[in-house]
Amino acid sequence: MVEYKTRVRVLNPLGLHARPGVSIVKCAQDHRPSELELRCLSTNSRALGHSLLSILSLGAARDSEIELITRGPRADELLKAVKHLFDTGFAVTEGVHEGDNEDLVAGNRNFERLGSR
Amino acid sequence: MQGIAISSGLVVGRLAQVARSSNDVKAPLVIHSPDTEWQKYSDAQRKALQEIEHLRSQTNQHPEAMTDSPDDARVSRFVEKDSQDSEVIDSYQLLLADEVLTDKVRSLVFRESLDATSAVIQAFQDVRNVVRSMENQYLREKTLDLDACEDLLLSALNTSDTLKQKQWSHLKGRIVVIHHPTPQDIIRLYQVGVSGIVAECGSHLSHAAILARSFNIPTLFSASGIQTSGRNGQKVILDADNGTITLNPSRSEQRKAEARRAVELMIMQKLKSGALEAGRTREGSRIVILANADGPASGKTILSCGAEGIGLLRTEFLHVSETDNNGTPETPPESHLEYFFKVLAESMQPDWTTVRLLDCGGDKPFPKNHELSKAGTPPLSGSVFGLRGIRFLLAEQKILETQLRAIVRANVFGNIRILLPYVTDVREIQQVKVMLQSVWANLPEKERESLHFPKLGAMIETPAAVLMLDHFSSECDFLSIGSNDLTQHILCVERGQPETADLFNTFHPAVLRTLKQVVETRTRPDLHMCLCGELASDPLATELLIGMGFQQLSCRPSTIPLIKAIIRNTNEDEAKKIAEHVLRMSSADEITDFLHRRYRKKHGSLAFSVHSTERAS
Repeated sequence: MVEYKTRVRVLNPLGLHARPGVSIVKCAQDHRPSELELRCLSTNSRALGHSLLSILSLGAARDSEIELITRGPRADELLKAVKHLFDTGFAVTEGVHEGDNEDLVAGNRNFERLGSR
Repeated sequence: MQGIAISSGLVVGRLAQVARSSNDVKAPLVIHSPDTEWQKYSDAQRKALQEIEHLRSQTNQHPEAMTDSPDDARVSRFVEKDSQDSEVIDSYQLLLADEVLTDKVRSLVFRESLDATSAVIQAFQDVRNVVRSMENQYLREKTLDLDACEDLLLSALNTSDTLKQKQWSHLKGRIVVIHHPTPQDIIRLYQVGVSGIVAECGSHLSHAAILARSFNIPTLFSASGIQTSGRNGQKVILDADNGTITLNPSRSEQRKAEARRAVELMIMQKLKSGALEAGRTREGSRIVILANADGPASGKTILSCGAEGIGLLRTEFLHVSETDNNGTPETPPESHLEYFFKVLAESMQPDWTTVRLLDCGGDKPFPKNHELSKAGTPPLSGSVFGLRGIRFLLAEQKILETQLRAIVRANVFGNIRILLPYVTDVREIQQVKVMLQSVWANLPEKERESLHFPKLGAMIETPAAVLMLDHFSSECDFLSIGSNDLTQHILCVERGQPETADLFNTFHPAVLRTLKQVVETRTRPDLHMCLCGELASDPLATELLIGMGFQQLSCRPSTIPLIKAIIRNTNEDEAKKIAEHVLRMSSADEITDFLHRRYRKKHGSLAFSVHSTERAS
């Protein structure tokens, strides 16, 4: 099977958290049955592009280097699309918070308190 | 009061009895077929996804409408903040349908036969453990997504759970007494935040036990009598490391327990970072640190303390904990043993898992269904001697054979070793060898291909074994020195006898000299010789033991980070001089005084000096 590979860097300040994760998974799901694999070179862990959980489990912080590997019929397209996501820092939403990281984390803690048992 | 330690830890707290409903009394653990459980999970997943979808449509139109219905409070919780953010809702949706998560649940249901609820809890716990180990703070805090999703799934699985949770909310922070907990009970207790669990019945192999372990709640099962003698609000010390619960502890007992807890917490916090590195002296010699494992042994916890294998797995709990209400305690079937060993060995590989065969008799109880146990235990003869350890096993060949076959069949990874207890005669080792060979030979050849023949070793815990050490070593692949029993037999003091309990002292020069002799009679350099027993876990002794020439210690897991820190702080030359000096001393008091001073001076700054105060009180 044809395999495409490239390396990208996590540009957005908060790393690969849920939001960018969602974009990646959606992108990967749109390109089914092609497969996407992510390898985080700094933590030496792997993730499946179709699983948000596994992407979050990478624990990839800003500046982590990630190797993208795609396989399947539209592998080249998928690779391009995911690379684009990384290169643009997963665009839009995070820009709003970008100067505002601490607030986001604080808001996050409040949320956690609400959610804690 | 004694019980079977299910999940380790020490807590001082107040008791709370869980009402003994008729439901609790029977409490048969209904295990549905994996297919039904899987169906339940799939339904719950669908329901949770629908709820999310419903939520999306609502938030798009009237966010405020949500708060009206109390049932939706849980859901609206995350709407409050993120109502506009459809991407967050997307993330919940993706998490709920996640392939990795679903696979995890599937394997828990089908391969570990967990019920759907337990499987969900366990799967999320596993994921959380992964997340918790992340370095990045922001990403770590994102675990809250998991909590919400888990809640959604659980409530879709079982709506009555939340109801019971409310009824049990007064149990928060308490040490809970319960008759025979079901997995669901453990989950609810975990959710309300109890600090410990003591159960009248229950087995360590049950799902309830597995859950208690994975939630790290200090837990004791089979503490018979606790329901009648324990009262609400009563102060207790639950010591699940040693399988005991003390009702109405004296002030000094309480202080001691609190000190120990403080010490262990401190060890964990201060030294855990270094625990995973190998233990090397200043000169660079490697001292191998293994763990003593007991009922609550889970490979993950043992490894995370920094152990490089299991030096001693006590298996007595496998034989006595099967107390059921209908009065059919039993020696466990071979398949139970095999499964237990295999799972443990798998998590430990490639490191050793040293399984000590059942050590009963003497001052240790017999298996409950055995006729000797009906005659009253322990001790039968009023002494520590008698039909104990290997003697009992050779007299009860069926019990021995079952264990050997279970171990052989579990040795898929080749890292299980067999350890014979209470050996006094070379013939005993030879007899076991013969049986082991025949067990091996009788397995189908196909099966043997996937297995490894286990290594065999003997406990050196009797004077006879010490004196016959050269012959023992030529029969064995490795040796383990049990300092506790050795002390008992060298000093002619029974631990259990209150009149002479004061005389039991592992630092007695006679004991230390015996240990020295053992190290020196080591015949071949490749013979693994490991010291297990309390002495190995005693930070006071570490430097001395290195000086005497021990290269392997098997310790209580919670002490390993400290022991390793001491090793790294030890100069071998100094240690040798200390050993020489100590071995010339004439009394245990002189020795402990000296070692205390030495410890404070050399290692006191490593973590704390609490240890010595604990000892003194």
